[in-house]
Amino acid sequence: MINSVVHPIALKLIELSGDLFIAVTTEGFIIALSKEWEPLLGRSIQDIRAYQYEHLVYTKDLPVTRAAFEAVKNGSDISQLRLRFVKADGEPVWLQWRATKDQETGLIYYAATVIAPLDMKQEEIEHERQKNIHTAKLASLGEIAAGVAHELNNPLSIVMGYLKMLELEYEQGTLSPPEFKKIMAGTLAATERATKIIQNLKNLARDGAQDPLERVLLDEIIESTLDFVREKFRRYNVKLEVKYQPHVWVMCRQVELSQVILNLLTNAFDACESLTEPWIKLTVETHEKSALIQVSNAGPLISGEIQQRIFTPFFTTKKYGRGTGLGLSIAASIMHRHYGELYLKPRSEFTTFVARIPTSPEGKI
Amino acid sequence: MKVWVVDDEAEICHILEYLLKRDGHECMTFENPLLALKSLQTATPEIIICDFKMPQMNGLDFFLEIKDQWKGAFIMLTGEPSADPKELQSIGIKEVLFKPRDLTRILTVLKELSQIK
Repeated sequence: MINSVVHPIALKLIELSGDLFIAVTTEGFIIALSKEWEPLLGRSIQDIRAYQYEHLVYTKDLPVTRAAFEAVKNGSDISQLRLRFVKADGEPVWLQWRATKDQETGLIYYAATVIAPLDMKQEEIEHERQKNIHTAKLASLGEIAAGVAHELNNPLSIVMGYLKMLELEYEQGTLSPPEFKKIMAGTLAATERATKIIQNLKNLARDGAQDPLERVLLDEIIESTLDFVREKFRRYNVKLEVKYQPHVWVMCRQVELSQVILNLLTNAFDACESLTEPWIKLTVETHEKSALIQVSNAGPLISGEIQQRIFTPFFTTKKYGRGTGLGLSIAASIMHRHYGELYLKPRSEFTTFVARIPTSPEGKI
Repeated sequence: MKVWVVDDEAEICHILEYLLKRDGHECMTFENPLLALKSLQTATPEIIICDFKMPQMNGLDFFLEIKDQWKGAFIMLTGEPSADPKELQSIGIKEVLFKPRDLTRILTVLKELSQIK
């Protein structure tokens, strides 16, 4: 059991500090805070301490607060988190936060700075942006929908064909047990293929932005995402090499992370598909407290000028009808919301995109 | 009749071959349209049943490539729900069939074609 006691020196510093400090247990109880909170919130220290950390947060900011809290609890450091506390008079006050967890005591330390309030307009813009992201996701989904219909019609044809075979053999009394078994196995495999496509599509179409952060094995997300593209890569003779360090845990919204990985794979496919020997490589390694998901392809490198713009919404180099120019900008914003980032690996021999996400150490759930 | 099946899905080739042979047709299958193109230089099937979306070459390009020197009946068997049969027929494609619903209708279509002959 972790001893949730603030170190006496830390306690002194917190109390004497002219800044906004707060120490919270992993259960969310406030156990120490600096005096500066009193005038800011219009409540006494004793009063504030009687609350759980969450109770001080402005209702609209609760989801982001919880997500950030989970991330910190699992070992990620946070900076530049913006969320509001509520004053005694009910008015919100905008704060910019930094947070870190003391692994020894298990306590979470927050430091805040008051910032100029983001006005309603900005809030609306943020809301609108979230909505656009979902619409864009659906649009890019529309692009792959035609491909999916084709992918789905093939296994369905196989099922239908095998059933016809079964019917004919049975009617003529020529159905032998091994033949029956073979037909059944083929039918089942094709059904499974169709089911997987639908399952993956269902997950992708969902707006996962409101899902809670979950502690998940990265291996599983990668495997289920690969299911979506393996067949396509095989058909187009694109060699896929996958190499990952197993048992890496991350805090994430599975749907969103899967969308990012799929986006990188689809882009890689588009970039190298027309080559004589196309290949795509996906690797996962850990570095410090992060997992690095890297996707490279055999295609030409991205020129400096284009590099500047790849994360800009609506910028695309793809042929008309093949890209909305939103994929990478959405993927990048998803990674930011996971306290990670998305970038083009500098000085890489091949085009390599890296999605970095903080790992969640084992046993720290 | 001599029927060729061109489809990059091995199992669809296998199923069609089974159905066609059972109905007394001669059948050859190609999982790669480029190989079918090559074989067309030395052989002349009466009917070609061809998939639309294939990695090496799509079914329409395949048809356009052969239509001047080959005079058989070309049946497009496609998984693309958006394919327009009228448009395809206007350029000389005999029949447009849709996967999966028309897969087993092929035999009926072949029967009709052989009667016309």
